[in-house]
Amino acid sequence: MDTTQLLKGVLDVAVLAAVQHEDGYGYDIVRRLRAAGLADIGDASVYGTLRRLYGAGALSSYVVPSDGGPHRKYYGINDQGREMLAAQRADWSEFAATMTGLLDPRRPRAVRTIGDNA
Amino acid sequence: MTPTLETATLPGADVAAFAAAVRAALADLPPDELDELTDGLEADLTERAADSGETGDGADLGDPAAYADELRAAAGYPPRTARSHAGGLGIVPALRDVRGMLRGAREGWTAFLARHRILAGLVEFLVSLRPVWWVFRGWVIGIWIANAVFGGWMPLPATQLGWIAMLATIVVSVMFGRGRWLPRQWMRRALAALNVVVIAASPFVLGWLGNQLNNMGYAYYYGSGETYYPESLNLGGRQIDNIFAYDADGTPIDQVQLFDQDGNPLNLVVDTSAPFWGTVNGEMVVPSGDVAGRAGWNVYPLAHVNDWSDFEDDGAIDPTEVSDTAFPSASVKPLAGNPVPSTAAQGAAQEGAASEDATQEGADADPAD
Repeated sequence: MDTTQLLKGVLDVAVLAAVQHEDGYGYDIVRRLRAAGLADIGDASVYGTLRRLYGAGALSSYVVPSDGGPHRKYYGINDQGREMLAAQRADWSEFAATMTGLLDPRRPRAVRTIGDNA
Repeated sequence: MTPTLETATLPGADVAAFAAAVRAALADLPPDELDELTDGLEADLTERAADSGETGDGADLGDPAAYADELRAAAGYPPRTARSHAGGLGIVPALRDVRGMLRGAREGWTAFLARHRILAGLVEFLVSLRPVWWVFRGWVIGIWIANAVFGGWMPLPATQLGWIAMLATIVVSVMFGRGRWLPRQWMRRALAALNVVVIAASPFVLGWLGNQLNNMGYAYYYGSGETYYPESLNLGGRQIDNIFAYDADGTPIDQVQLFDQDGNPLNLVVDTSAPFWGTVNGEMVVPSGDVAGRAGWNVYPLAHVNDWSDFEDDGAIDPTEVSDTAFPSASVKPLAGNPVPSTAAQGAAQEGAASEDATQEGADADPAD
């Protein structure tokens, strides 16, 4: 399955989760996500998502000058972001459970609940 | 850190060029947004290059246009419009752009059709004609093969093998059209390319077909369907260069004016202002000067000049250079009931074999002259 397609739907929650404990700059967050197992995640997707979440008010941002190198723009989660993360985490858990049940080869009857009025 | 990594973390020329290309591809965004989106891009790219353990010049940064598209999409901006298309980024991004544009065009077209019922119906109708296209495609390729391999140059094959080849390509084309016999993805792509070729060739093929059918229908017609009107007197396709009149006795008439059934002059040429007319045997006949403006193209026999030197500098004919044209024969047979002309009588007398009657007739004819 093309995981990049799946990633598109969960980029927001993934990025929010990556900064929930510690602020980070762009590539730092990419690195965290890859370390977490999302090896195929694209840099630009993460940067764009950061920018969009910042625009939506879910993240705060500040610039840290680095000694010698270029300055870094750090992103941190705020209260609105935490609310968003909590809601999306619940959505994901529900969705993941549904998909897991649907895809479970041992329980074919689970599929039959759709349209089953009994 | 080793010195190698130190150099790699410097924003190399590659990173700078890549970042510039990304910014160019996003140039349609408002400047503030562009800055926000690409702020720290070089730092991130440099760090990534260092992370992957590659030196600046060997770092695989990928395609800047695709990177820009990804950045734009993730940031929630609408797809780049054709107006802001950033060119000059190489063939790969160009192909990607074409694919993206095609996808966009298809989506736009579908949405457009959804809003226009009549157009949608028309498209549906055209789609139902697809089998015609399948047969046409098979015919184009089949007739090409039949003509190239088995000879002939007609809309239908000239040989039995040609027929078999053409019918086979039509069958294959129809089967392809129905989605059969194409198990692999690349085959469908190849068919799409073939379609483009056939469509591009169609105008020429149809033009050629029309031409061939036209030629078959008008095989004996002059030229390409246009009627040819000669510029001079013609009879049965043969050019008439001069006319010689003899009277009822068979004697040449020095000058005769001819007219047609409507009373119009029976001119030798259509353009009566022409100063001369080149004859089949290379002479240049000229109109009679006895008609005003030297327009006597119906006064026969027409006199002639020998060559260009007989014309004045202004194109007018030097009258002294005009010669009478000799009659093809000094006399012709008199009409029935008319006396033999004197010339004929003299010839007969010299032979000494002429009958008394003939001599008598010749003598009788003299007063008539």
